[in-house]
Amino acid sequence: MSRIVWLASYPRSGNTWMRIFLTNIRRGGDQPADINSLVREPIASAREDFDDALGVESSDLTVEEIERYRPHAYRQMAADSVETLFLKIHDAFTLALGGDPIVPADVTLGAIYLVRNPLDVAVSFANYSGTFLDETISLMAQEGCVLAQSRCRLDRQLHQRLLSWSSHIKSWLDKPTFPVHVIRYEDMFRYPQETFTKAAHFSGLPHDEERVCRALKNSSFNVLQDQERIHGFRDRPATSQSFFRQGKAGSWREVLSKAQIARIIQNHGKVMERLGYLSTTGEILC
Amino acid sequence: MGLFAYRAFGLTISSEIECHELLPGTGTADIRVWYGSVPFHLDNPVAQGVLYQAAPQQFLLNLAGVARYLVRNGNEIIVDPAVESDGDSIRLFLFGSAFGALLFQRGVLPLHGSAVATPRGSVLFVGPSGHGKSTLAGAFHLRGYPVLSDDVSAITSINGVPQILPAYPRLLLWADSVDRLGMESTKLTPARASLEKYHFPVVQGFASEATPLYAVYVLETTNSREVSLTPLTGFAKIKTLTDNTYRGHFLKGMKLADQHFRQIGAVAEHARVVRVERPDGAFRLDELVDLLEKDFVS
Repeated sequence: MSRIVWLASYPRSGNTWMRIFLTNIRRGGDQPADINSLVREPIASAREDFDDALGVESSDLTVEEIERYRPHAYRQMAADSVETLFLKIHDAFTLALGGDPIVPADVTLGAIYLVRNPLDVAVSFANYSGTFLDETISLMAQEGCVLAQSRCRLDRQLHQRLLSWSSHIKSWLDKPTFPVHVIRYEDMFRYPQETFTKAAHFSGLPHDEERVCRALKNSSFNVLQDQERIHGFRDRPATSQSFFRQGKAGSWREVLSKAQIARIIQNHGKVMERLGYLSTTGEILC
Repeated sequence: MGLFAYRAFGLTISSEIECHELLPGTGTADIRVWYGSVPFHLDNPVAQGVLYQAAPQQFLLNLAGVARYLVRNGNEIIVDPAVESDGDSIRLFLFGSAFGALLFQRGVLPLHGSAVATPRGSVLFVGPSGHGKSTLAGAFHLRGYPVLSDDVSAITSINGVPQILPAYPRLLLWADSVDRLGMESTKLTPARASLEKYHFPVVQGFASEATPLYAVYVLETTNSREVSLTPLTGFAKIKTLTDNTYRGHFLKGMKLADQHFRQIGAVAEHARVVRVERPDGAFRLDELVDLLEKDFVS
């Protein structure tokens, strides 16, 4: 029996990078962890792991049954795990049918919530999914947005209620009854030592200076890009040229039009302000 | 209540539940399926999941709104339906996890995959849900290869040679696969009222005999552009077969891990195990079927 640390985020907000760092700090080795060995590291929406926890195939279950069983599946995974379980999750913090949160507090140690300037999220998300920027910006504003929601074919992952970018953030920041440690993607670049030390400490992992330094070196963008160039990366979708693309903050400045920037601020200004991406006078801060 | 007699996995099933999916059977019953009272818990479960408990020769599946199933001694399944349940749902999980547990109890190895018979022997497509196992079996069925099984494939050893037993004469296909295979979903019945997953009866072209296993194809998707086949060797074969065991978590509770390991070893010794990689998002069914056909014909 162990408990779960959730690595929660809207897509394209640094979740994979954090996962790689945590893997490196757990191993504590001199050599970088192989990024492709992370493939079987769990994401909460993985169909196989859910099916194993339940004992039936989710492909035989209705959408409503799957939602109802999700919190139970995570309780089972925690019960079956001998050490702290790190689960990546892109779902917003929502309630399953019956009123139980999908993410059950009783087996949760806490959540690291990763957030990134939505101007950069739009650029990264469009690149990742091979869609147009305007489409991606519309998707980020959709309150009813659901990932993997096809009903006429079997998606590899369970359906995930994503909500809009703003609602995703508000759901994770305001609703959980367990500790949520918020990390800004931009701070992972600007103050790496401090930001990652806090993340390791929050997760109950070793966080002495030397170990954090080594894990950071082993999960630097250069190392990740080299690994992807030489061996490929299995999490890269076929629609994208590379997964570890730029690894920097602020690329929206070169890509987004004024109209696109205005749309994103109009949709998400309030939450951007709350997270320090926008000043009270409307100035973009990151 | 009347009794129906069916045949699946080389066994005669005597059932109180009418199962239009199954072939009729004759002779002394190997398995009894009957309606009865099933407890909510086993007395001494050794392992459990959200919906099941397992102990040696005992397996309980408790699916709220559908039924509770008690599978005992490899020869009995007791079904206790929920008031609000329907026949399609009850049979779907009966043929899935409940029969999977029964096969384990009988010392038969269930792998998670669909199989067809070829002149070289049976070929089995395994892989995670959503990777196209049933669709491939459907495509080979349309090319005239007899279907042996879909989703649960039972392997038994006859004279020391692993063989796939004929399972249920049907394929379960999602709407997109029905389209891809050129069928019409309006002519098919859904596997469950609320799912766009259809029951495709294999009336003609169902294999009636156990067929020696020639090859296991492990379906994987990658972000590469090519379809490729890579034969596995040594421990990779064992690991792949273990990973693709149908509901392998049940084994722990039923204390059958040693038996399972021996069976996997026998399959690895006799059959080819080939990794099949195809690009994510692009099924390219005809190309894949051609390539596989060439592989097992040559």
